[in-house]
Amino acid sequence: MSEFQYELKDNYGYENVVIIAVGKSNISNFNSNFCADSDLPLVMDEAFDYPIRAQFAPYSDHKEMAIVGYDGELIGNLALNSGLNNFAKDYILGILAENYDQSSLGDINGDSILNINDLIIIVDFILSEIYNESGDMNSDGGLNIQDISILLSIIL
Amino acid sequence: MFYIRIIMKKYFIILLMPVFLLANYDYSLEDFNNTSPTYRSNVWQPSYSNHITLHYFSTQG
Repeated sequence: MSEFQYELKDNYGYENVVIIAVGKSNISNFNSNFCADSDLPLVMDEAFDYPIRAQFAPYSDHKEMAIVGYDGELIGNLALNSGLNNFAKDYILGILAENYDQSSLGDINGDSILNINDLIIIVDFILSEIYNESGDMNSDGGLNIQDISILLSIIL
Repeated sequence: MFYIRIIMKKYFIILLMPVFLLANYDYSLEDFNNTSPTYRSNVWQPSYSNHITLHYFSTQG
């Protein structure tokens, strides 16, 4: 799964696409299994109510993937019972081709405009020690004064 | 009475349809993967706001 994330970025330029693994809080081996040699984020759905699965039902069964757009709307879903094969990759690439906005770097609030509001959010993220890929203007894996400087120069 | 029930059912479906069509998804949970750049941050909000997100559900790798 991690290789596909790199493929999306390196081969297709989809910088602002992320695969998030949704495990279960009562399954302790999920982290070592899914996340071994992976830098994909992993969240734990709280047992035994599993609110995230409930929210995504009926697209949240074992090995299912739900694809969500910028506004939180469901834009695709598929079952990966046979793994992430070429059929699944083509399906995902088709969804991204239709929905991906190429110009979202720096546009943290998603209003399609780079302005002072994005800058304020980046400052807030830096102070709160929150990482946000859209705000990582120089793609160095962290948010800092350099990202503010780059965004400021674009805005001005 | 039968026809009234059918009409009521029809309107009930029409009224509820936008709720299903416009359903939005959202969560903010701690990232537990210690090799992820967002380790210990909350995802998908706010760390991946303005991203297209692919949510993979599994109980094991």
